[in-house]
Parts: sequence; C-alpha cells; structure tokens
Amino acid sequence: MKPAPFTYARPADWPAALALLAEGARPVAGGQSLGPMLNLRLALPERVADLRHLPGYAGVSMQGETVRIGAGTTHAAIEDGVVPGRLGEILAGVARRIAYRPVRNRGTIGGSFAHADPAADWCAVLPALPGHAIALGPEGERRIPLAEFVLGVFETALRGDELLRAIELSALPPATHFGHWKFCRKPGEFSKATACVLATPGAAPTAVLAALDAAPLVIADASALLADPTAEAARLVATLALEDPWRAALARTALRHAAEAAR
Amino acid sequence: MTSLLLNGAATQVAAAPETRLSAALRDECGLTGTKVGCDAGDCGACTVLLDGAQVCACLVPLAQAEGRAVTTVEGLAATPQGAALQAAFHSHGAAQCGICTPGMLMAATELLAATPNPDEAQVQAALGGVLCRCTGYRAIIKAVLTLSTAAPPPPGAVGDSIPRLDGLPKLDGSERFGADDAPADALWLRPIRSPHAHARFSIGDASHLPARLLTAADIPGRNGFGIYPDIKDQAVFAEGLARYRGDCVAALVGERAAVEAVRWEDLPITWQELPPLTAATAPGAAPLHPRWPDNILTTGRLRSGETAPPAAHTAQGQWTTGFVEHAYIEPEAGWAERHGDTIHVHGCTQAPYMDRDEVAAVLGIPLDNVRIIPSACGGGFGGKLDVSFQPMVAVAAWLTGRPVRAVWSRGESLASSTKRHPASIHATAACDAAGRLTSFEFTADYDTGAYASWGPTVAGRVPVHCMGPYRVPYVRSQARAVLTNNPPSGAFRGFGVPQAAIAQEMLWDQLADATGLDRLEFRVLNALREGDTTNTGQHLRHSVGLVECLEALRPHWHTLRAQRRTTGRLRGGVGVACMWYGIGNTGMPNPSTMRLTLAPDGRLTFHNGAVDIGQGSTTVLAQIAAEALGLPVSALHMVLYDTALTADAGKTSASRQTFVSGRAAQAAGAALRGEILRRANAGPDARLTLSDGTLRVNNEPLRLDTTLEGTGSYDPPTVPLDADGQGIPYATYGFAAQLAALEVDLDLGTIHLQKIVAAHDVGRAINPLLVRGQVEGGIAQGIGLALMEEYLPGRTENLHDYLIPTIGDVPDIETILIEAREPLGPFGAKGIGEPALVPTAPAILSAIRDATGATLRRVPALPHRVLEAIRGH
Repeated sequence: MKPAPFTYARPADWPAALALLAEGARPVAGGQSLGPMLNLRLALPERVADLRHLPGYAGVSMQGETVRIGAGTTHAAIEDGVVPGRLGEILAGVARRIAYRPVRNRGTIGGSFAHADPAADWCAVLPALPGHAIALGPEGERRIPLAEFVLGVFETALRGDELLRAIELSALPPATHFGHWKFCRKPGEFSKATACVLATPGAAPTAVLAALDAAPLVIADASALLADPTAEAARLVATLALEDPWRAALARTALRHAAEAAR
Repeated sequence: MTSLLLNGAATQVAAAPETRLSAALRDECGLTGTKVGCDAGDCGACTVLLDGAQVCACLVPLAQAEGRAVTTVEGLAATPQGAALQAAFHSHGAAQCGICTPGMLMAATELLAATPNPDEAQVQAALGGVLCRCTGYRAIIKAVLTLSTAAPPPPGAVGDSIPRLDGLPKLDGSERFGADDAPADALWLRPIRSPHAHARFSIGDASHLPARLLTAADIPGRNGFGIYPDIKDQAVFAEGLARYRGDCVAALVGERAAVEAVRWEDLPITWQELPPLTAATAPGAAPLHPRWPDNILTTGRLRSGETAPPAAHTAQGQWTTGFVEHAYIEPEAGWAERHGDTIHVHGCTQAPYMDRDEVAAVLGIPLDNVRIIPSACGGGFGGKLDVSFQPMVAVAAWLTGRPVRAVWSRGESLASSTKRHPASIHATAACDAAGRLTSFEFTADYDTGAYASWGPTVAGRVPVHCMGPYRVPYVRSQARAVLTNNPPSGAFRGFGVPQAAIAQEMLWDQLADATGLDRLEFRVLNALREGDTTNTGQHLRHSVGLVECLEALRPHWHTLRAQRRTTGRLRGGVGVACMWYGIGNTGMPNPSTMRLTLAPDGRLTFHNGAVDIGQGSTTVLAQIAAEALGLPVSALHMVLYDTALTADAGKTSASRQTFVSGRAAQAAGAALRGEILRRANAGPDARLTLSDGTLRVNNEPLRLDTTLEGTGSYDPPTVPLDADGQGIPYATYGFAAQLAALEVDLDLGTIHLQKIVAAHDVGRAINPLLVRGQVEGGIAQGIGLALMEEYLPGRTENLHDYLIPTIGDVPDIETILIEAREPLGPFGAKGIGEPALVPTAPAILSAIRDATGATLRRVPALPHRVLEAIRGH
C-alpha cells in the first residue's frame, strides 16, 4: 500500500510551522505513528508539516530545578540518558520499553504525547509527573499541566492552532520511588494495560492507569493505592465500569504491580 | 532533490520529499537489498541505518534523511565489522529465505558499533524490531554473539554442515525476490478485493478511471484455479459473488501512479452484502458452491480394528484452533511478460510447475507456451503453493502486451492468502491398566473457507495421522473439510496434523496420569517400532526412530522436571509430545526428476527444479547429487528452477524435497557416474576428479566429444487409501518428540518459555546445520500456534494485531538428531520441514497442564484463556 497523495512541507521556523498548521496541515515529528497511518491510508491528510528539523525541537535543558525536554527529543535519546538525575533514570526506564529500538530512534516524546494513542507509554507516565506541556500557538507559549493534557483517545488539550513545543518537568529527589508496569503479549507490542505510580518524598504520591481505550485515569493522590494496592486497585478499576472482564483484570493487575513496585 | 550520504557516497535523490525512504532506496537508487514487508513499522525488513541508528525506512520520509548518512545492506561489506557479521550469518545458517536478513544485519550493526561484545539479552533487545519467520532466531543470536565463522566449512559430503550454497546473495542485498526485479516499463496491477465476507456485486462502466479495470470478462481461458485437477473453484476475478473478505473481483492495470491514485470510492462497483455462512453444516444451510450442497468439501475416514480391547481408563475432550497465517515476511510479488505466443511469469512461488498449469489454463494456451521463472522466495510455509498474482499478471500482460508487475501489500496478503485450517476436534482414547492404548476415536471439522484449495489434502492426511505414532488396536477417525465464508484454508506446514496432534497428545497426558505412568514413559510404552503395522495397514519395516527420540529426551526430561518451580506465582511445567509425519503426497504420485550434465569443456551442471524457499534444498540436493556422482559439491554449476530449463521436481511441500527430489538427485548422480565409468572403462570404485575443465578417472584424463547426461526420477511407492483409510499412504515417515519447559504466571495467565528440546528422526541428516535450522524455525511457528497466533478476518490484517514470535519469544532450543536410516531415502534421509512444527504446540500445552493442572481446550493459549482454564480447573 502507498499513502494517498499528500503534500509535504518543511517549515523553516516555528512561525512558518504555525502558519501551516493554521492552513490545516497535519504535523509530523518522528513519524512512527503517523507514518503507518499514512501508509495504511488510515490517515488521509492533504498536507503534512514536518517539525523534526526545527530549531530547538529536540534536546534537553535545565533551568534551576526544571528540566525542559524538547518535544522532538527521541525516545532513544531519553533511553540513553539525555535527561539527568533521578528523573532521567525514571524516564529512561520507560523509554527503554517503548516498542523497538528502530521506533525509539525516530519516535519523539512530544509526537507520541500529542498523538495521544491510549496505549502510548508517555501518555501513561507523564500525567503522573509534576510538570507542564508547553504548547506553542500564535500568541506564544501556553503551559498545560501534564495531568490535564490527554483528554481522550487521540484527543489532547492542544488547540487546533497549537503545537506541542516541549515538556517541562520538575527534577526529582534521589529517593523518589517509581513503579511502572505494562502488559504486552510479546516484546514490543502495544500495551493492553499500563500503570505507573510516583512516590516523591514530601509530596502526595500520584498514579496513572492507561491503555484503556479512553483518556488515562490520573490519580492525584495515590496514598490509598500505596497503602493497599490490591483493594484500592480493585476499587479504582470498578469505577471505570470496563465491559471486558479480562481488560478489567489487567487494569487491576497493572495498578497493583505498579504500586507494589513504587513502595 | 534530496542529498544523502548513501553508503559513503554523496547521492542526490530526485523523489518527492514525502517519499518513504524505503521506496526511494529501492525505486530511485536501485538498492533493493532493503526489503518491504509491511510499510507499517511492524516487520523491520526495511531496517537501515540513519546516521548509524537503525530505523524502519518505511517510516522515514526522504526529506528527513537530507544531509544524513544512510547505510543499507549493500554498504555493509565495506566495513570489517559488516563483513564479519555477514560471514557469521553465513556460517551459522542465520539466513534461510533471506528476506529479513538485511534488516537483521543492519540492526546488529547498530548494536555492535556501541556494544562490541553484547550478551544475549542485548542482542534480543537490539534485533527485536525485525521479524523472521524461518529461523526461529536462535542461529541469528548465535551469529551476532560469536561474530566468528568457526572452523572452515567441510567439503560438502553427505552429512557435512556446509553453509547454504545460495547463501551469499542473501547477505549482501543482491538476492532478487519477487518485488526486486521487473522491467522499468512494467505496468502495475492492483487487485480489487471484496471488503465483505459474502456479497453480490456488479461492476459498472470503468471508462472514467485512469487505468484499465480487468474483470472476469477479460479472462481469455478458464476463470478458475485450484490445487486439484478436478476442482478449479476459485476464480481469478469473481463473477458477481464474493465469497470471502479478500476475494478478488477485478484488478486495475496501468501506469503505477495512475493505478495507485485510484481511490476506493472511485471504483464503479456496487455491493450487496449477504449474511456470511456461519453454521455451514446446519441442516438447510445455503450452499456456498452448488457443487457441494451440504458445504462439505470432503470427508476423510479411517477404520482400523474390529473391536477395541477391554479398557481400564478412558479420556476424552474437545479442542478448537484458529486460523493461522503463514506470515512470510515477503508478501506475494512478481511480474509477467508476453513474448509472442508465450508468457513468462516471474515471482515468488513454491510450485512453479503447478503455476504453469494454472496460467496456461487461465490464458487458454498450451503448457509449453508458459514459462515460470521463480524469483527467490521470501518464505512460503505452504502459503505460496496456491497461485496468487500469477494468473492476474499473466492475463494483464497477455492482453496489454506490456510487462505487468504486482506487489501485494501486507494487509492484502493477510486478507487474501490461504490460512491454516481452524479445527474443531472431538476425541476419545482409552488404555488398559498397564497403560497400553486400546482405542482412539476422533472426529473433526476443519474450516476450509470459501474455496477448496488444499482442503481435501487436510481431510486426507488427518485421519491417517491423528492417532499419532503409536500402537492403537482400534481407531475410528473422520475429518471433514467444511466450506464457509472465511478465507480459504490451504496448506500450512503440517496440513492439519499439528491441530490433530494437540488432541491426541493431551489425551495421552490424561491417560498417563490415570494409569500412574510417567508421561514420557507412557509414550515410550505405546510408541510405534520397526516391524509394527500402522492403522492404515502399512508394515513399517525400517526407519522408525521414535523410541530413540524419546530415549534421547529422557535425561533432559528428568533434569527439567526436577528444576521446575512448584510453588509461588510462577509455576514451572514440562511437557512432552510426539509426532509422525508421512513424507510426500498422501497415496498419490508426486514424482521428481533431476538432471546432471557434463559438457566436453568439463562444465558439470546440476539442473535442479526443486524450489528452495529458504529451507535449503538447493544445498542438500547438490550434496546428494555430488556424493552419488563422486565429485565435490564445489564442482557443480547450478541451473535452478525454471520450467523452461529444469525438469519437474514437483512442489516444495509435504516435506518431500529431501526425500523425493533427493532420491532423484541421487539417481541422477549415479546415472552420470555410470556414463563416465562406462566411457573410462573403469570399475565402480573409480575415483573422479574435476579440475581445470578436465575430468579424471583414477587420475587418467577422460576426453569427451559430447555432453554426458545423468537423469534420475523418483516417485515414492504408495498405495491409495480405500474408503476405510487402508493403504500405504506414504513411503516413509518422519518421527519426533519434543520437550517444552516453561513457567506460567498464575496471576496473568502469561507463559514464559524456558527451553525446548527436540529429538527428530530424520533418517539421515544430509546437512545437519540446515536440518537444525528447519527444526528451530518449525518450533518458532509451533510456539506461535500454541501461544499467540490467531487470524481474525478484518481485525488482524497487519503484523501488530496479528502477532508472530519475535526474537524475544523463542527460548533456547536443543536439537538432537536421530538417524534411523530409511532405505528408500537418499543416503537414508527422510524429510524435516513439517515434522519440526507438529509436536511443539502439544508439548507446550502439556507443560501448561503440568504447571497448573489445567487443560487448554483452545489455542492459541492467550493469557485470558489460560486463566480461564486454571480457574475452571
């Protein structure tokens, strides 16, 4: 199969990219999600705007206790340790388990987050972390709390005229505990249930349950889950009223395992 | 214009910026070593290095490679490490069909650049994005880990593990598969397929389209094909009624851009969806084809023994299996060209002579006017026995006078190609108090889908094999092939036997437990031995190595069982299963002919019409022919499979090439040797040498004024089965037993395989390296059947929803070769292609039962099914 015909643009700078967006172009970064959708004709955009080469799109910078990760930073770069400290360790552990190395070499944290596939790893982890998604629109940058970014399946808080520019995260103390668990039938497969629990000293623990065919469930205070993973996982999953008992069992298991690993 | 540093050279590529890098490399730069298997980032066949990092070239727009270094398999040999990697792949047998090899090599190159001495886990992680369907990955891991070529290969006598003779082009990207080669001016053909499982359709005026729309009305000859001479029930282009999702109703032919630009909604086709046949055998069900009013294509039966001996224990159960896809990494591809009143068809196939017959009939021309020239075949496993693109491109080329090519997309390949038959089995078995089997009764319906394909073969093989390689005094078995609106089920490594083996072996486990016998010893007790008579009434005089297989497994059995965890969340289990498999067609002729020539200039040529689809027949047959002739393999020039140049060696199926074509090759070698010795007036033990164009017999040069020829033919002696399944269906049988050790996660229902030990009686291993490759690859497919593969039409038409084992899913495999010589076989050899797969799934299910006490009734054993079985136990 070949993609249906579309035109391809490489904007020279961010204003040009935003202008293309305003004209209805579909942004692409690493292309590891949009690429297959184009090739299989599941996505039929008239025009695609390539962001990958834009200045400052990839890369990590530190401003005090804040880490700014360019949206175009690849999973592989994160896996290989581009983010420093305990936060970097946690992110590297997540990145390492995304699909396969060729996908990680191209796929980007921002592209994945903005695409908002419910099974995507960053959608299952970033909402648990303290920080913001930095949206770039015609009026400049806008900060969206990470927990409020993914709104549904392939749906985010980005407005139609905005691009995801970066992820800003707070550095984490070395004693931070993190549990991350996902279920794949074979290595590299799309997850059928993902959960993570973040326990930062001095702050309320947070948790995310994802790969639900819906927006991720963000738990702003996961103290009860950490205290009694089995019971609280069951209670939380019951509130979702999942139809498929197997998926419900997986979701409970994911939360429980993530919580146990974060204790 | 995009500038790349392509394999070290500054290169300008004129393609549009959004062109996939894979397409730019292949179509613009002519570098077809980068393969395309899915266009979705699932298979990894197109893996190349972009600035040293492995990427799926199908997911990189050309513009993103601007100014970057792109390295493809063609650039690998230029670096010492690349050359070493290629050599290691060659000597370890890490490339079989070769279609995934470029991707594997590129992924390994990235790994080794950063990690020169990786461990196994690192290799698995780095190569995890590239799928292989042939090797079972173990040889690939070994090659990357050792990066050495070990000792220099032996000369190639029978029994020598020489690397495959056709191996080098698979490593440097120069091998030409079905999509790699076609005239530049070829038109493109794009099939139009039914999106419905069952629908009437009509095709209106297509003159507005920018390409020609071929339909049934354009077929010059017979609009039908099928495996059996009297069943040509599948139309090249369906006539008003589509019987499965994927049924071809028409094809667009024209310039590539025009054909590809046509959108679905532009096609002048109106569909009237019909309810698909679900309960095909229910009374009053509408017939799918008028010819089979009850939707039963064929029924195979076997009756053996008048009354069952008294039994102390009985066991019974029902099992169901799903559709399984061959998932060769090379989708169907090829091209055709008309030369006057002759048509040439190039492309991937397992059965060139059958293709020739089909194409001739579809065009309505004599057989001699069709030439089939197989390309390299990127995996087949039975799925490339039926024609696919061949009649379509032939018709298009015939009518247009232009060369016409076609390449199936992955989704199209999945939707349209044949599948392993889903089986619904009920079986009952009994044994006496000592554990000796007394009876076995088996009935099964095999869903043969919308067209016959190999359905009759499955219905024929299953009743003969379903009791397994055991002494059973009383057997009643029946298998029906049932027509439905599902994809046509065809040939897939084992022809229905792997499904049946699941039921048979699970019953043995139950009976062993009931009698208090060790499960392995239960099988030893009941195993067929030389001198026994099978349930078809065949006396097995030779080459029954099953007991030796089981005895070879016994120490592993005890060790693995002693090691398994019996408490906690991860529960260990060890399973055992056996199989037998008749080599060649079932009670039907399947001759092969091979030919050797020696020209006056000393050129020795082996004309070999047996298609090597990756399994290694080109190498094995050459070893046999050379040994029979008395010259080294290196003396042979090859003329390989081309219906105009080689004699009919039948199809590459039924595990027959080593045995049947091997016997023909042996006879050809012996015949040429006889000619030579006669001319030299030398005795039978004379020593031949060939160097510098001169043949010497006992060191005396032999001058030739004419080309000498040795031709050998072989057709295994069989007796057709009667209505009760009595006869001699096969001249010989392969036997095997396998152990599987695994752990079951009691919380998740997931299975972690730890080890498989496989003992196979192959008669004689002509080339142990290649035999082991077949065993490991067959086991990987058995793992897929047991644990993950289930094709659901419309839902798993890609390789991320249809899962096949990755490099992380295949455990350590230990292969033990048993050589119970078969006097009929070439130097004692039998076959191995299908036997490798058959015992794996039942051994895995046996191990799950050992670990949990639960009997799985349905495969694949997906986690939720495992949990259900455990909780229902």
